Amino acid sequence: MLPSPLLSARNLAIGFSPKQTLARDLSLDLLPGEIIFLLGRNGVGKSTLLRTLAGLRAPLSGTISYGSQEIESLSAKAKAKYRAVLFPTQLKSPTRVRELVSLGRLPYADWSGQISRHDQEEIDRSLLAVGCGDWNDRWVDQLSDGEKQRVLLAKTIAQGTSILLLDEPTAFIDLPQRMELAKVLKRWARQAGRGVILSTHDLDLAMATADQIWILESGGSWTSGIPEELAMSGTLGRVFESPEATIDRATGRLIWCQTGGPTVTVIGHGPWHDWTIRALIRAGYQIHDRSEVVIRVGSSLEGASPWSLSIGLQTEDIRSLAELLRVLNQKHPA
Amino acid sequence: MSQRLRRDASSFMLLLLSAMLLALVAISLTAGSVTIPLRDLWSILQGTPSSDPVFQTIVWEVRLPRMLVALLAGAALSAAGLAMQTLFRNPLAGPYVLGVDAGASLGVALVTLSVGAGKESFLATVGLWSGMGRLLAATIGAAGALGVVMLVAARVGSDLTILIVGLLMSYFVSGLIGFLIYQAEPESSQRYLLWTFGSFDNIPWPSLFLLAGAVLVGISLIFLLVKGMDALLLGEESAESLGIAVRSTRWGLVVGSSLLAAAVTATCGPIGFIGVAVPHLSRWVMRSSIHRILMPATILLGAMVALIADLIARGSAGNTPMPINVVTSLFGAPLLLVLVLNRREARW
Repeated sequence: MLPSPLLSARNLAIGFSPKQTLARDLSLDLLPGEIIFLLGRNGVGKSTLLRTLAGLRAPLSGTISYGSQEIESLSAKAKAKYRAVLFPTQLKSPTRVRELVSLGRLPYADWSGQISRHDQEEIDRSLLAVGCGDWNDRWVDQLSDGEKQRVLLAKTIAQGTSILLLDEPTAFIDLPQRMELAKVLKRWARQAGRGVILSTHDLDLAMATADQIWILESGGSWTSGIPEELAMSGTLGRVFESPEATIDRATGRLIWCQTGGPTVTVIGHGPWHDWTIRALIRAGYQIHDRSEVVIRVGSSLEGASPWSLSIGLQTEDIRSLAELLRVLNQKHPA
Repeated sequence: MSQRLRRDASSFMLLLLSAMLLALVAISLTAGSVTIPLRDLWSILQGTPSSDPVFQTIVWEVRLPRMLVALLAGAALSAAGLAMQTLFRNPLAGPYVLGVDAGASLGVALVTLSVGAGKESFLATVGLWSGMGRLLAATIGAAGALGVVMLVAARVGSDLTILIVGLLMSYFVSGLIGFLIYQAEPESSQRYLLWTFGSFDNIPWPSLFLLAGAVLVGISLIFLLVKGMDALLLGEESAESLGIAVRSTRWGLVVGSSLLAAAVTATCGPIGFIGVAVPHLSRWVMRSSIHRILMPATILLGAMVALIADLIARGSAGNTPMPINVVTSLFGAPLLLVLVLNRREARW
């Protein structure tokens, strides 16, 4: 039997008014320990869905429950102790890291915002969890975007809730830091059976990290599933493919698609073969089984010329990938 | 620094500021064209009959009311400025962003510049009634502006809209005032102009009590909302997600600051600069953006800055003190500039 969900939505319709419905008939569950990625093109209502699930915006119809309780029955404070939300935030006032993180404990503070020793320990723990345990006195406006995002995440974690709802937490931060962030979130969720829902445009990160992916499509329909199933069933392709890009079914990655370019045949195997294909696609060539232009790729860099280029009967040895593209562009331009 | 140490440092700083304010109060009462010894001051304040009657008159009728007005006005404008800067997340916001000063100015302009300059007209009669008439007109004008702001705040959902409404109201009103000045006689224009310079002088005790009451209510209202103001540092949506009732917090801050600005403007004229500058000074002194700490510091610093400005105004030119707004701008602006340029570690 599945554990009971931390958050569940039934027959949810979201949007600004019945005439401006963004999505309908959403039925979703967030299970303990899970991290869910919410994907979709711009404007399909990812942010609206997160705000609705957070109880900050009323659904047009349907119900949302936190555990066994429907959110309409919960006070603003009770909600603040069950779920924490991270919106794209621009800080205007100069603030120290610890003060900023301490704002996450406001639901537990007295009328003046005074917090207890226990709250201070929670702040210590969440700073440690995101790997900035000794940043207490740093000024937030002097941090890089990635560091700022970590501190904001610490503030969100400090709220001590069962679930986190994060709106595009990976925007503006570099690739290693995204991985790091995903790792922190995964650890946070697994440790105590908590759950995370985050919206992002980062398909690669979602494929590598998500326990489940929820996809909102324009027109208001939605799909959910584990990353691999969505890739195999072609759902990812349907949502994200465009004339310029296609989803590679083998890897679930978005790749450029070129149509109408000249064809080349590539023979060989191993990593050098794969990278050669990538370079050729990037340069505007189409890979074809039987082209008059044939490129052979050696399996290693040993030997002077790992590549050879044959056009008709003429064959030429080539030393580097860059040279290959240059020569090809001269004799067989894309 | 450990959290314990930090809390102690904040408390110590607040204590220090209080002591400095007390010293300024004493200086303000004793120093001037006639120096009153501290010992005499104490007995005068206690109402001992044996003290010098001239000293008694100076303290009770001139210096004490002026000192209290300056202290209240400085504290009120600074607290209102802090509330507005936090609410609108804008370092340039101040107590007058919502146009309360414009309302008060219009009231005063109407009585001092009285249309048509018919000497027998009711408005002119009120105008000739000098201080009290001006006070009444400013209060009605400020209350009118406050009413408009509250009406808007109750209807619209966005802080920015409130800000824009306040700004537009100010423009509109200054247009009206410009028209009145254009029509008025030179003497009455000058009287109006003098009012806009701001003054802590010649405030009768009843209006001082009124000011004190309004300041107490306004500051208490804002003080009750310090937690909500902390949350607003993250933006409205995040504040709401932290369980803060954003709508009522906004309502309270708008009403509280407008009340403070209205009371001060009606009593002393539009006092510029203090309300915008002191919150920054306070953040710099306390090195914090938590309002539980900032609010008391801002109130203390606001009172101190107003007292210092008053001392400079009086000390500079013998019997005719400089207008307060001249002092705050001439001395305050360069000081704040130095502060902002040197403040590497914390900038807006």
